[in-house]
Amino acid sequence: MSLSEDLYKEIIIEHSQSPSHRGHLAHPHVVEEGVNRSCGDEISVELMVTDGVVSEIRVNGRGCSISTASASMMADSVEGMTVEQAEDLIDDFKGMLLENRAVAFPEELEDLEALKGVQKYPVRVKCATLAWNTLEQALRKAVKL
Amino acid sequence: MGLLDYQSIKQDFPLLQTKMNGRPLVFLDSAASSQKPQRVIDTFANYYRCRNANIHRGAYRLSYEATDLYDQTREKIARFLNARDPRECIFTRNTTESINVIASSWGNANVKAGDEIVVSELEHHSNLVPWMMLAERTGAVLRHIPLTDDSRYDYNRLDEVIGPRTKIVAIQHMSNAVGTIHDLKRIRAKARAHGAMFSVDGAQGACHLKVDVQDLDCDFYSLSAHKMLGPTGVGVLYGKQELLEAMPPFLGGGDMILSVSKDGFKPAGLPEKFEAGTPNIAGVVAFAVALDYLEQIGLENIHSHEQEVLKYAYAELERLPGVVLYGTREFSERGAVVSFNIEGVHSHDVGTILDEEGIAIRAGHHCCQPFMQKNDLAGTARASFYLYNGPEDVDALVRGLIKVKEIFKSQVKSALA
Repeated sequence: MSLSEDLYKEIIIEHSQSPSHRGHLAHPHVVEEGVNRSCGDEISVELMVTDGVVSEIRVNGRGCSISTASASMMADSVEGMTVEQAEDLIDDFKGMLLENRAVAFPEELEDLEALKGVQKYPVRVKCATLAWNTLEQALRKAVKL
Repeated sequence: MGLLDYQSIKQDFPLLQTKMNGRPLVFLDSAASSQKPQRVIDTFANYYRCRNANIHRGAYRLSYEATDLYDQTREKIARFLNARDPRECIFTRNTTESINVIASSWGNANVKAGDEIVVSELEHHSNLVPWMMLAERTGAVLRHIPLTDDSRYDYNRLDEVIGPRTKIVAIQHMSNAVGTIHDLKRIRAKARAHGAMFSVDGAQGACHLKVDVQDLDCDFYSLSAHKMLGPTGVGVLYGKQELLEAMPPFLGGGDMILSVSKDGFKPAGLPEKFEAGTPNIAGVVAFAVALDYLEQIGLENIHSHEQEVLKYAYAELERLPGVVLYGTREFSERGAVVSFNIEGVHSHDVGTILDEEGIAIRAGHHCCQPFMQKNDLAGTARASFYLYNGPEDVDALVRGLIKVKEIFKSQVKSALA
């Protein structure tokens, strides 16, 4: 398998071509914007946090297939999680890409492992982490509400 | 006319003999920075090996010889641009710094609240942000020359933006994003009709086109050595002598003074007034060799070569389904910068897949975000060609793009079939 075939796995292409959790919430508790300064990718994360649970999430913006797929998979993963669970997942995901940490995602989240291939492309790691960094900021705001 | 002997030219550039990701390097990003011929690299290294001393200091041979070498490049670039006097050519770090000298030094002294600064919708951030900062400092207003649908300046609408309040018109010679070469004289005439200054961002101009600052009758022309086969960290600001003489210094420090006392300083004359601190001496010295190289081949010949490669690239890319090309099809009004997208694929993904094939292109907004916003683009992929690129580089690009389409499962109909 060539490097780019390892990067552009089927699941990533699918998510990038039809990302989930797009659109807007009527009354989001938190809206957070994220930008990758070097490439111009933009993302916005909208959250409803009810009783400590991420009850609804929307992700909009534009970027490359990696950032779009990562955002889509992230939204699928965290909706319904408690804030703490979401924070742990962010930590695991970033650990996998930034620190080469061995991470075992639970079965329902194992799609996220498809993004591990991004690690081999240092310039693309920031594409995969953009949505997660933005969510991290959004959660920080949410717990202060 | 026609193609240069680019195969032998390529032999002069050691980096073009190397591989990237295990594939022979196909370098299509000269609009960002050109590669350097061996003799430029040698001159740079030899300077440090045999010639190194600070300039304008020495009671000793090494120093005054270094000063001589440094000033010889100034004479060479002055001839290259057909400036009246070498003192009209100031060494800076790059085009960006040159434009900042104009916006700060000339701008602070001459621009007031309510004055208008005219740029265009196609400018590089380096020819926008310094003017935005000047406008913020002074209360002046930024106006933009509008574009046609094919990314040329709309010359029929100049009167909408250039008028009696215009203090300076600051535009590019050639677009780094879509390759348009602008009709500078037409813009200059309009600026002059209203008594405005005329400044040209020549980052993409001087490397591809013969520049004659007297014929252009521009007040300022800014360029970067690293885009014209020279080292990084060297730029030039050409300015008309009487303007530069009237302008206050930009940076203060050593070398830019005539004398300093406890109470104040007297600035030096041109060009030292604008060259505070120890400059990139080795880079300036090596830049002379880059200029020799360009002149030996001839800017006109380089332009004809690039036109041939550009036409071939257009013909080949147009045969690829799903490829969208940006910029004008009037080849006489453009250079060999080809901006494109593959439908449904982000330019960074194109860049990553080509990278693996050994092909270097630029992807993204090319420091032209206002232009991208106007066209509702997240960015483009950009292949830019120079004197060492030939038709086979275009072929490699096309093969790479077919791979991109396969990976993204676009409707692929092999253009090579």
